Amino acid sequence: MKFTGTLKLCAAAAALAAASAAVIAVRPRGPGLPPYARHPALPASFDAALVAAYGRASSRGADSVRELAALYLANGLYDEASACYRVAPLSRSLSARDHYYLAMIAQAKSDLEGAKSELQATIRLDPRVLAPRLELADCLYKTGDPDGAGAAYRAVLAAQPDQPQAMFGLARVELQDGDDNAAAAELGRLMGAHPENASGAGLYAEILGRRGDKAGEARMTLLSRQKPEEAVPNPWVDDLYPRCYDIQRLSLKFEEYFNSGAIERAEPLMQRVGEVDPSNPIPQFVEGWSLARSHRDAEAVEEYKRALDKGGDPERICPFMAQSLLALGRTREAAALLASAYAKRPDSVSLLMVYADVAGKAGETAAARPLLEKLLQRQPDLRSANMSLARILWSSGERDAAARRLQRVADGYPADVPSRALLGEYFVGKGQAALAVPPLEEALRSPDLRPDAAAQVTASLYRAYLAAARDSDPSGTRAAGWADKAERLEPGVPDAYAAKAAICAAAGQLDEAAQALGGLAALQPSNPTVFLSWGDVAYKKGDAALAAQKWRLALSLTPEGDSRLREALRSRLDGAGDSP
Amino acid sequence: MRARAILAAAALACACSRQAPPAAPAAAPAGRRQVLQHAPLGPDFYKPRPIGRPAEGQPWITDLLVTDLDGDGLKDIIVCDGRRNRVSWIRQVRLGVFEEEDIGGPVAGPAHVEVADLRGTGHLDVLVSSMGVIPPDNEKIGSVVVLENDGTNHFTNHVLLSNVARVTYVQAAHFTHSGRLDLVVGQFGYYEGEVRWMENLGGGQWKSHQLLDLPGTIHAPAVDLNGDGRMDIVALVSQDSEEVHAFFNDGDGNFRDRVLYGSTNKDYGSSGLCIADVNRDGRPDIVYTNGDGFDYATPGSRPWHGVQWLENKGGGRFVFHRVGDFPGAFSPVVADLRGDGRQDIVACSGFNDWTNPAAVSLMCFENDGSEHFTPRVLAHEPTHLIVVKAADLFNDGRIELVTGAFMFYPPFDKVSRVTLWEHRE
Repeated sequence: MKFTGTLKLCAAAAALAAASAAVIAVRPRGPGLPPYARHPALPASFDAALVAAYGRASSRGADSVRELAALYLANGLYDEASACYRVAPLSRSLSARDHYYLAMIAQAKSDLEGAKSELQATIRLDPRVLAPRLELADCLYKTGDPDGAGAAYRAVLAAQPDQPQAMFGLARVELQDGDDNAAAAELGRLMGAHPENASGAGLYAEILGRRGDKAGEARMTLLSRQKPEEAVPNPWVDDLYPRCYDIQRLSLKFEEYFNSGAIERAEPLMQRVGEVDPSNPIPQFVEGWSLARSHRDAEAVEEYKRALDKGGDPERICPFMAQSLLALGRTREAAALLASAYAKRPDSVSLLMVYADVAGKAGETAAARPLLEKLLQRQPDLRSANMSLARILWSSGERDAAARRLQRVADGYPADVPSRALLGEYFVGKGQAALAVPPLEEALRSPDLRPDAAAQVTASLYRAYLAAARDSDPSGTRAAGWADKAERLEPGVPDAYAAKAAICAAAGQLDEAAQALGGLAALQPSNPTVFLSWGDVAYKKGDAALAAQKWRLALSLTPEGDSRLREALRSRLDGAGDSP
Repeated sequence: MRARAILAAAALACACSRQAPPAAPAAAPAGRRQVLQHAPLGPDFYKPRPIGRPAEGQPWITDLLVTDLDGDGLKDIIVCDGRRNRVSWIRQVRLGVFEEEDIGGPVAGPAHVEVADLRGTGHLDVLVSSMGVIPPDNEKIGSVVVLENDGTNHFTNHVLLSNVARVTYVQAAHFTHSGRLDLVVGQFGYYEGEVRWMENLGGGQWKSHQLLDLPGTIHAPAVDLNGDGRMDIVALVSQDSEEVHAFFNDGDGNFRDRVLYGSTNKDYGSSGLCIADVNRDGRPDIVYTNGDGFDYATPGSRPWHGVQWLENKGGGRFVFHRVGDFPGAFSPVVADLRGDGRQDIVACSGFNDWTNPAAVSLMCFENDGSEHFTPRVLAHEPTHLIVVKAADLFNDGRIELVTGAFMFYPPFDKVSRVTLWEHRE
């Protein structure tokens, strides 16, 4: 092995010597190739490729020098790449792609003025390619020329009317110009054409929130949580990566594509990582993730194990592996994996979070509770951890402690529904129904309320209103107010009408009581007790005729077997002639 | 890059100040001559000494502020401890002797700290930016908390703003002619965020005015950029934008937004910013770092990380200069370390390849007097330094440094919390 390596090195040195000799033999005027140098931060395979490229470029043929430039550029060696483009005859025959690569170099060196002129040259030579046009607009914006940027974005949109990056850029220009309406309209168009555009959604959410459109803000906030939008297709950039030997660069680009869902663009980069560094754990980790996405969790677990065996970071890998184990129903194995990883990294918040979650799912409440408590000491506002601990405390009967956790979530997360729903239940259970109402009302208004939870929250709030009505002093207006709210919340449910009627009757508000009973009668036309009560109210109001009418109706509806009710009604009817 | 989170949010870069923004670099007190240091800038220039609480586990220090909080003539250090969710005061009880105590109640995810006599009591209150949680989160869990000083250095939490996108920066300044101190608030958020200023209406009433609708703001210091006597605002916006914005104030609290510089690299990793007159031409320049590498599969440095300054040419014109490469660069601070009258730039590294013993954690870019900078390694350890501040802590005309560590990813073999870097002799 070692011998083979030495042979290769000798061959490379010989090639380089030949290349250098050729350069010396034919030395054209003008700048020459950059001097060859080893780059210890890059693998030996890069050096071999470099030596070969120098060998080919020694003739200074434009294509071979171009190839050398691309090799340097792909590996982040910008000065050397730039020097190659200054070598004649390449320097006299720069293509659109060459100018674009020079623009890439300028941007990498934060020389946006240089980038602008190279991008303009690129566009002059090939106006069809989208990426340089967008980059030029971005450069103009970022160098404080919003007017130029606006014109450049509009030029893109003239050719491609719904181009999302141009629409977003234009909206930013308009915002900076103080034209809120134009920006909002542009973003509205963007989200109409590209609801997947997370950046646009985030910006639009901010504007809508600022303008008081809470529903629109909530809708856009939800969209902003999608994966980041995919980068503009750029074959000139993608062509560089097969020449890249820099694992970090490959990994970063991979991550960018991967995170935006451009898996087909990401995969070749990971293959390239495997080619350049077979001992790298990242390809196995990514393969595991990819298999898990296809629900092939058993195979995913094996890939994750290989990644760990290659020295991959357990803090990153174990949470994913645990998810696959959970999907396979191997909950205890997942908990054990995380317990082991956490024991080695007791300060890892990410491991602690997943471990606590998995322990809870494994039913190991005794293990989960201290983990959650520890986690919340470090990150007191974590929603999921607070909720998990609240549920554990709730189940063990420690409801006051659970309520404190729920309140923390409710305070920190204005749209959170589960914490508010449970807080409502807590206060009703404590006989403090009036305190249950605010969180339940907030839950019902929350943009995060899912349809399947809406019925449950509505029912809880309805119960809370009624309980609050019962708990209130019936002679006050508050009790009737609660009953009114219940009635408005559930117009088709009789309890609210009955409660309101009872409260109003007790408070001497007989018209209101009669009205409530009228509503109740419409809902329960065969219920004799409704008409009994209605008759009682009419009697109290002094309307004996109406009272008798209602009682008679009630009697007709009362089953023969219900002797108590029939007796009560008869006795009322017998005394109907008396003054109320 | 969206996926990247905001550790960058944690560290502020401005040097110590009371109410006014620090247009001047850390320097010896007025009337005191700076002492010329003959020792060359390098690993032997400073000697590190832990101060305050010992480092337990892996600390998350998110910000430091050097200030004389109790007005006893000795400079103290205020600490944001993201792991403990507390703000603490490392008090210099005697020259060179430091003791740490918590001040106020807990603050969730404290990211930045400033002082100002916000209520006009003659005592410094402590302004804290609360992110709610330090890791990425788009919920409205940020707040602005003032730890109100009762005059005997007992502090009580008072929340001025809550349920907003995570707050990473707050500073008091006069943005109108009202005579009351207003606030500028940077809110990193995550998918949504903003920059706002809060107008002090008096009587504890505040009115918010939005300046920018983008997420990712990590610093937003107030400064008179164009010398018109009005306080402007500079905002460093990372996340997808990677831009430096200037908000020019017309004096009535109406601001005009301009992008002074932006990188087209979405992974640029903007991480810290400070205002200082680098070339001593009387105009405040902007120094900033890009070194954030928080949320990648493999946290660490990136090839493009480094330090740069935007030279203020006057009339609202700024020119970009790269100072130098520095993997994981954070928290730039301008100080004349050698007392030679030249403004050097110090930065620390929060994200580097800490498995490599040669990785640098503290660097000085030495100024030759013509703003050509030469990197001088000050230290390789402790590692994971996310914030550095410079000040003449001992009132002897020499500049000391104080660093804070954010131990986020392994290895954890060179752990620190708050470290004082004092002169060897």
